[in-house]
Amino acid sequence: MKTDFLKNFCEYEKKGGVFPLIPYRFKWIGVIIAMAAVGALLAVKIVDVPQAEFYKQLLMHVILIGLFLFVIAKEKNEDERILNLRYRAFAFAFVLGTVMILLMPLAAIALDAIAHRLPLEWEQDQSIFFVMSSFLFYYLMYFQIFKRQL
Amino acid sequence: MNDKQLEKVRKGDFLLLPHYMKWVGIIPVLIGVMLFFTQDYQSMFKGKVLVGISVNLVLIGFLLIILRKGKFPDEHLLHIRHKAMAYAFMHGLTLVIVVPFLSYFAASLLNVEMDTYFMDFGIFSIFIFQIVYLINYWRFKQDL
Repeated sequence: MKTDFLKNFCEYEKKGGVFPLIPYRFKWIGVIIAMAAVGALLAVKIVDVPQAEFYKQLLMHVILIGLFLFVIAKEKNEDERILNLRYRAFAFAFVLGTVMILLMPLAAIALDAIAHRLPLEWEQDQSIFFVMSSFLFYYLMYFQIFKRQL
Repeated sequence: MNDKQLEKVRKGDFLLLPHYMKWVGIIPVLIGVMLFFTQDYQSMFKGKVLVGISVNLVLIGFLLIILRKGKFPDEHLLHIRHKAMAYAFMHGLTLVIVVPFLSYFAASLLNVEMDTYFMDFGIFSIFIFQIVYLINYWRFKQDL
C-alpha cells in the first residue's frame, strides 16, 4: 500500500506535478494582492494602529505571496520552449541572488574601510523579505530578457 | 564580451568552475564550521560577527560546489542543472512562505508567547535552497 503511494507520487512528480504552474488569470490576481498589500503597508505607516510591527511583517509576507503567484502563473500560450526559458531564468536568478547576498557584506566592509569607519557589526539586511523579493525580481528580469531573445 | 561568449550566455551556460572545485569548496565550509564551534577557544571574532562570517563561509563553499562543472559537461546536463535550480527555487519558496504561518498557528494553538511570528531566517533560506538544489540535481542525474 505504502509503496503504491510512493510509486504514484513519483510518477506524478516526473510529469512535473510538483512544479505547479497555475492558470493565466492568477497573474493579475497576484498583482492585485501585491498592490493591495503595498497600499495597506502605506496605510499602516500613516495611520496609527496598535501592533504596527506585526501588521508590517504580515503585509510584507502578503506582498511575497502576491509576487509568488505572479511568478508561477502560466503565460498566455505556454509551451515547452517557454518552460525551458523559465527553468533557465530560475537558474540565473538563483545564482545571481546567492552571489549578491554573499558579496554584499564584503562590499559593505569595503565601503566602511574607504570612509574610515570601523566595521563594528556584521551589518546587512538579512530579512527573508529582502532575500526572497530580490530573488523574485531577478527571476522576472531574466525571464523578460530571455523572452526578448527568442 | 565577444560574440562567442554572448552565444554561450544566450544558451544559458553561465560561468562554471572546473571540476576540482568540489575539493576547493569543502575548505571554506570546514573553516566556517570550525570557526563556529571553536568560539570559546579563540578571541579574534566574537558574537554576531563570528556567526556572520562562519555562515558566509559555509554558503560560499556550497556555492563553489554548486557551480562546478560535471565531469563530462554537455547540453543535457546543463538542462538538468537549470531544471534542478528551478525546482529548488519553487520548493524553497513554498517552504519559506508556508513556515511562518505554520509557526503562527502552532504558537496560537499551544498558547506560547513568541517574539516574532515571521522569523528572520533569510540567510538560512538560501542554505535550504542550496541543499534542495543539490538533492534535486543528484536525483535528476539518477534518472538519466
